[in-house]
Amino acid sequence: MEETRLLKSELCAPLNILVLIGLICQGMVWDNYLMPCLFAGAWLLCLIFRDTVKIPHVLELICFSAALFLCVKYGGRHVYEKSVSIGNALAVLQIFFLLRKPSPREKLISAASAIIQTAIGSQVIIGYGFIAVLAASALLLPKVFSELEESSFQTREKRKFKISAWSVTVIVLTSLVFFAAFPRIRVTGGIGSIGSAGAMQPELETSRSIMESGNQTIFQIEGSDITYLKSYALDTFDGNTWTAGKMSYVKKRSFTKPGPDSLHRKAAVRDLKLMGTALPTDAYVRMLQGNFFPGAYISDQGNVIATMVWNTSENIYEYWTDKLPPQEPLTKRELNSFLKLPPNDPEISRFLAEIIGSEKEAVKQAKKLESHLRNNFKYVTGAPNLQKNAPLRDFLLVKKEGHCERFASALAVLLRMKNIPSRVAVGFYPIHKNEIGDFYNVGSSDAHAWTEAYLPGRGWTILDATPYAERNLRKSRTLVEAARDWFEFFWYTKIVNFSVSEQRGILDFIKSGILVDVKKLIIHMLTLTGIVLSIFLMYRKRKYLKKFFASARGKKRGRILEIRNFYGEMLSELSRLNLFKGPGETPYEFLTRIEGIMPEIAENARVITESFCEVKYAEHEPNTERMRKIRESAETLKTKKRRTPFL
Amino acid sequence: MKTRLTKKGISLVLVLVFFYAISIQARSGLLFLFTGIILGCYLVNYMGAKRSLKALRISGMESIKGTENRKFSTSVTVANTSKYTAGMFTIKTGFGEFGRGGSIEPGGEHRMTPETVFSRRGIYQFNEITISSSYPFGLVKRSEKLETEGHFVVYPFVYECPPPTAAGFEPVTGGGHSGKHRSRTGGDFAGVRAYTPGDSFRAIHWKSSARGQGLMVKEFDEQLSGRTAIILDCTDFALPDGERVLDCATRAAASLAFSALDADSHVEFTDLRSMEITHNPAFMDGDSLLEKLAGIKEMENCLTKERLDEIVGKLSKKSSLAFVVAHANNDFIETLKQLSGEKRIISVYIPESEKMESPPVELKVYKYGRDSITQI
Repeated sequence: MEETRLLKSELCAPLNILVLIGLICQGMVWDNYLMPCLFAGAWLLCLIFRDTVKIPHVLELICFSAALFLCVKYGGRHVYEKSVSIGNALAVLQIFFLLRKPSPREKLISAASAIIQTAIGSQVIIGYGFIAVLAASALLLPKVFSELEESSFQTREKRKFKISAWSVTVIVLTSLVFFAAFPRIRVTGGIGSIGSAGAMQPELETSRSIMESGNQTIFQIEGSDITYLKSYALDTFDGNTWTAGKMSYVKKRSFTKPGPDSLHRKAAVRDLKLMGTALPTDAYVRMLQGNFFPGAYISDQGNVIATMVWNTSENIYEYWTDKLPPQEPLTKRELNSFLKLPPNDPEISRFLAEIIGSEKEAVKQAKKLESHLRNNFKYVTGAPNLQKNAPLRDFLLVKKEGHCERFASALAVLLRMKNIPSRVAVGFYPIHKNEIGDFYNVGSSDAHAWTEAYLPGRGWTILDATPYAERNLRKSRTLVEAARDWFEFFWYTKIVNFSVSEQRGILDFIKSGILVDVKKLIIHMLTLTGIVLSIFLMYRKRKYLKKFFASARGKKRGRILEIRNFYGEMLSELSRLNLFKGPGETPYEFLTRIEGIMPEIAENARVITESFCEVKYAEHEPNTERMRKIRESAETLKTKKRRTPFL
Repeated sequence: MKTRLTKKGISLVLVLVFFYAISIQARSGLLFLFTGIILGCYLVNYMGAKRSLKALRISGMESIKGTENRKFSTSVTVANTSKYTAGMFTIKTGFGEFGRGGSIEPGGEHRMTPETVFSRRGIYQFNEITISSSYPFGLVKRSEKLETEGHFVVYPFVYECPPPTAAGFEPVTGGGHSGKHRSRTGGDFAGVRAYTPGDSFRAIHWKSSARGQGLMVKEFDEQLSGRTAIILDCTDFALPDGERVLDCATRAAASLAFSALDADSHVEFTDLRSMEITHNPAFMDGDSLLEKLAGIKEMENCLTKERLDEIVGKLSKKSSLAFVVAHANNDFIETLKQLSGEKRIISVYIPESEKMESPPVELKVYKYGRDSITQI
């Protein structure tokens, strides 16, 4: 009995629990669930057999030194990997400390080792699981520190440190402030490669039909004024298919320092396979960073290509972009490429002439074409295939309906026919803004194609001939899905990958936001204070809340019991008349039998039976009105029994 | 108020720096959150220690009494006046760490005996104390200096020794000496005798009276109390074993005084520096005498004929005289001879390393060491 009590106290000791968390975190480094389980098992066994196995200190030292040597020698090439690996040697040390009652100094070393292992765990357990580790650390670390300090005073009575609400609040707030404000250097990582194939192919076949795709989230992106996220630009058209020429993969320029007006975007890729090596970006990208590719560049077509991508636990990239492109004249080679067309179709030429009329200015011609297509054509997904030998003519002159790719292709061809350099861009047009957070969920249903035209005095300009109204009719996500999306996005981009740009954002908010929008800030602060106060009050008054809920449960339970009692009474009365409910008979089957034999009580029996079934099987709480009705029925049943001789 | 990191705190800061170094190549920013939790502990510690210092009140620091080379017996009370748990404190004086205590519940008290040990008797004054708290985690320590006047009174060590020969016995109820006379009351039952007129009715011994030989009354031995005067020479020098002779002399004087008090003698004490006489009646606890002995300071050439004559003149004529001296010079020998002629009962106590040449015949000479007195 005494041994069980001792073991229980050992298992519940804050230091031992902290050691367990450290060991589990360290076990996760092995990238499987076996090692954490083994470490946890070793922890338990050590505590069970504490003080029974005696290992000489010299042997402990030799084992630890050997483990340390092995970890340093074979624990990876980089300092980072070696540091992570050293945690395994610390696990050996922890095991020895668990096997005996450690001295105060050893306890301190044990706590420090557990802290180091948990820190290592923070690099491995990147999912939500680490919230539990953080919460446990916030509760256990103060207790462990307090116990260690208390033991150094050698007081006769052992006091248990009660962690107060304010201590936890201060610790959590400090942690958040430190997390948000502490200067950080960079975040890297990840291994493995998945190749370059993605959902967004650098190819567009005008004639084929496209069905409404699913709504699988490919990535989430945040930033202000996000519009067309380009993956590829297609410049070569063979009459049916647009493909990305060499220019789409040739490095045109390197990244430069973002300007003061550059817009910041941050994206968390949920499905790297679907995205491929082209990183969707909007406008004119100046700077790009990410953690799942070694290098990226901006191609001749203005799209961002990663040389290679690999899957990490959280694939994040962020970039800074300028809304206005630089005025760069096209070279002769480029001009030829963006004006190249298959032989002209006279009918299309006529159609073009009709739309353009006498307009000579390129910008106006482009706008006219864009608005014509948008206003006179119909957006349809799943429209029938076009004629393969003349898809454009079929679309422009016959079908006049289709998906975005047809519109983009048609506009690009028409522009080229008017000697306006153009290309088709494929990528995403995000419209699914999360209902909770300030970011977009970009999925396969957001895939889009549009046209880019090189207009004099404007440079490359986006023209979208696809009718908006129809395209925007998409199924919105439920609130639960939105909340889940928000949490995932928040966790991976704002917590796990909290970067310098976020810090800068906070600083900017402090600099400008506070001064400019004081009212908004006050509202936010009041809301936040209200939430914190409510949590605090709920915590302080938890006893009353418990009582309140207990009484509410009690009321409900009382009603349920009353109804069961009525049903029981009814069965009891009927049994006196030799009307028994069979063992396999359901209440409703029995009710049918009652209705057949005693129709005069059938109505009241129905009320009681139905209520009983609702309570017992559906777990519905009866309301007051229902209760009144049941009581009346039960009373009537009794009265009828007194009046009716056979009842 | 001063704030500093403890050793534990510094060690942990080094670990945090290591974490930051690791974060250069970190795969996730979660390490910052975890590090933030530890930093939060530092902040809570800082606030807790600050609040703890405000809450703690120390009392009993005015006079702390103890014996040389021994732990103090006086306890100091540290009370927590706040409604929060406080404590994990350390109190320091100019003489080193005074004491430390763990956490104290709201409204609770912690009694502690000072940890400081003094190797020599004396009165050690202090004007300020430093109280520091590391509540609750021991990572950060806050210290505050308090202007508190107080002193340590370090008594000389008292050891067992034979009491000096007393003189001038007088009847005193409860006196430890038996006289030739019998009295009607007392603690030492001597026997019974026949009743004589005038005997108190209360003194009748009924048990023996019942034997039929007439009324018998109880008789007790007369209880007497003697008088002893202890004269301390304040000359100081180093003995061959490194001890100061005055320290050994005070220890001897204290031991003699307590031994005499235990023997129910009235003790008069004086030293040749202050020449003030302290009267310590029998059954007294002797604390005031120890306090005086603790504060005695040296005086060169105080063992002179004039001073000896003066002090002997001040002392009761009935008392026996016990001289605790550092050395026996001519003036002292002469005085002894003079006092012997006056039929005074005298005991002389000299250090073990000293010799006394040609003492008067009837004189009892003892030698005192670090913690013992032996008769020659």
